[in-house]
Amino acid sequence: MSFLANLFTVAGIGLRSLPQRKATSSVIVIGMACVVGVVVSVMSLSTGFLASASAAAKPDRAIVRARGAIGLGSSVLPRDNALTVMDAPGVKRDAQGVPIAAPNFYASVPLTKKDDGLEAFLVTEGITPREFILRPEIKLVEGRMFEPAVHEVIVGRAAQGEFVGLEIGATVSLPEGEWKIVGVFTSTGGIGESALLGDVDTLLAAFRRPQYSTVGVQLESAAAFDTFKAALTSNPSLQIDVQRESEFVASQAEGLLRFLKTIALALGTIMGLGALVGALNTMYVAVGTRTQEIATLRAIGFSPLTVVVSVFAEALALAVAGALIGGTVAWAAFDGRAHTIGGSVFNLSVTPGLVALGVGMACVVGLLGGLFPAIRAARMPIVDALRAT
Amino acid sequence: MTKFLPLIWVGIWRKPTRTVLTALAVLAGFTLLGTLGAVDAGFRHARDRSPLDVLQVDARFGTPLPLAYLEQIAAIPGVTAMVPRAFLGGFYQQPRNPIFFVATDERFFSFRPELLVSDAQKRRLAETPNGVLVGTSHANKYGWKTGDQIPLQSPTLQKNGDKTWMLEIVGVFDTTFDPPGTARFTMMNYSYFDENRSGPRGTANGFMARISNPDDAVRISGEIDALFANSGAPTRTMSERTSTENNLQGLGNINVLINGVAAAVLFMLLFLTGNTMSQSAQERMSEFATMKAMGFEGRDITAILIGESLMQCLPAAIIGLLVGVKLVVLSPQNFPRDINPPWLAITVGVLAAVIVALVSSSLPAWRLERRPLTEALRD
Repeated sequence: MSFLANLFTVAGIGLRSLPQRKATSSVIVIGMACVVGVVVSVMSLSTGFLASASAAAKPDRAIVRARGAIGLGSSVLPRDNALTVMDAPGVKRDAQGVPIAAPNFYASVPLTKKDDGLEAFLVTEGITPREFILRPEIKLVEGRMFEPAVHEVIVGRAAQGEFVGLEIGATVSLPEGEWKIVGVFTSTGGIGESALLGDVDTLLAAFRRPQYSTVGVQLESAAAFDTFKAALTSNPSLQIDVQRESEFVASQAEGLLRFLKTIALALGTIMGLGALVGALNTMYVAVGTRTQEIATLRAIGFSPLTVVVSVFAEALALAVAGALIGGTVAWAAFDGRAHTIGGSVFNLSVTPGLVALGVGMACVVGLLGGLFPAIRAARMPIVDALRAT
Repeated sequence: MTKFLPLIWVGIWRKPTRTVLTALAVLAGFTLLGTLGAVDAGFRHARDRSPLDVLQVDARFGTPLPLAYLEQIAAIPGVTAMVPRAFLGGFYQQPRNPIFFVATDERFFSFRPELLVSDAQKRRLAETPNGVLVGTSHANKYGWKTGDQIPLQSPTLQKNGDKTWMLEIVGVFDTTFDPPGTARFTMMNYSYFDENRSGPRGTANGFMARISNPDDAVRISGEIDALFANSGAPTRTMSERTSTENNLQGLGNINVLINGVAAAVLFMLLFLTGNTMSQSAQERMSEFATMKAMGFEGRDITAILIGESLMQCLPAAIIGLLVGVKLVVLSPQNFPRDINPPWLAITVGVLAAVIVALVSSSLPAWRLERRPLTEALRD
């Protein structure tokens, strides 16, 4: 107990003398704030994208694609396969006993972006009326629903904000001419709303594709996935891949997330080294200016360990303060800001987890930066140190 | 200034730990700036090297384009040359070895002068139906040499239902865009591809069209797209320059990232070196006062401080920049790279280092200047 009490006393003395070393101490704070600010900002792309992509993804819904298809658009699922999938065991049925499942067609359409006038691809999805039972998060909020057999689509709220000319009444170039926008839908925001929706058979005919891309199904429960998958994979007439919606989204986002993580890691490492060097410098100065004070403490009986800990405490406190500032600045600047990668719109997201990551980095920098100065402080010959000017 | 060199040298080694630490921080920071500069230069280069007088005619909605389009487009005034492009993708031996052949013909070489393909190689390609030319990167990776028969596993079936395409390597080449040994481009004969595939014969994934006047790019692109707008296979035409710009922005806003990180790094370094210089000057207040009493001018002292600061920052910054640039060149990642050293980035980097050194020494120099001599002597 008395050791702990001593520790707090010494650490307290050290921290209270901080204001006298404002200039040097701020090097750690500013350095750490820059590192954490950059790393958190880059990672906010990653968390934002993942959050937006998984917002609508459910473990109790499954998506079925042609075997080996990359993404959705390249999947070609023969119609008889689609029917077999929708009727498979494990699929939930409505009150009339009809499976809650729906086929989809995916294509992309080049459109002009509002911010830079360049073109990006927007997902165009062909759906059936069953889609709204399968995915109740899709809601028509303006205008009316598209009619089958005519050239009409509805547009997602996020896509409307990102691309030029997607207002109700406007037209978009799709195969077979201009298609009229008749309504606006919302979903779980972001990526789920970066799309045009139209009637699946009308779109298939226009794109001259005979086959659906995928089939989505509502499972009886999340646990029913295994039954569903087993029934389909044991059927030799089906050449398909089966995934839970949540797993599918995670696998699609994997590449981008790994890329962003690599960038954040590279930036964090190099800038972190810079901050570490700054921290070492600062703590050497701190120990230097506190020479007499430390020697006095030692002379009146405080152990070398308490001195070491007090140096660490100072380095940690400064580094963590910097990390919190960096995290806060990144949060204020980027959290919730809309961003597009390709044609997908999502909001950057600075989560508590990211700030915690920054604080973790700060702890590493603080501890390493405090290490050698702390050892120097503890090894100081008391008599000489007391005499130092 | 040179007469102060010994003084500067002694000054920076007064506290070796501090000097070494500061230089290391500068080194780390400028390594990052060098990397960012080289990446930025690569993107710029990718954009600048994309010609304005070559149009890419692509399938707007992925529907393959009939070869008959070639003649219709060539008939548009201002279009001087055309070539079809089709793609055969697949993998070699294992799915983790993806490879992607552009099926085209000899007209293609005039559109891609960067390909260092010899006349003999062109002739062999023309004489060998299933011949392919491969970039040095693939050849080195898989140990391919001219004359080798390679199996390509492709989801694009042959007309007999076989998914293995046997191709013969008729040449290995570099390009002027990639460092030697890293060219990734591959090509094959369109005629062989089209005859043997099961898919829609007589179609291409797209065309390239050369126009006589780059200023007409937008107009002619519009005319081409209008020509096929109501057909079953509409086109999407733009200059190669615009296409590259679209592709690059698809990666996200790289410029904002690069500038933001560079600003954060410089801010951090400015603080760090500024602090080091302040400390160092503060500790030597009485020394400098003595020197002044001995007859050194105020600006001499300033010159010494600036010299110390430059000597701490500049060498470390230059080494860092070069290391950073080299890291990008050596990176195994496939992103646009400029084969030439990014002089602009290096110049800007050195300039930034000089500014960091000047700013960080100016504050302590100014403080010294203002301090009355008698007071400073007493410190």
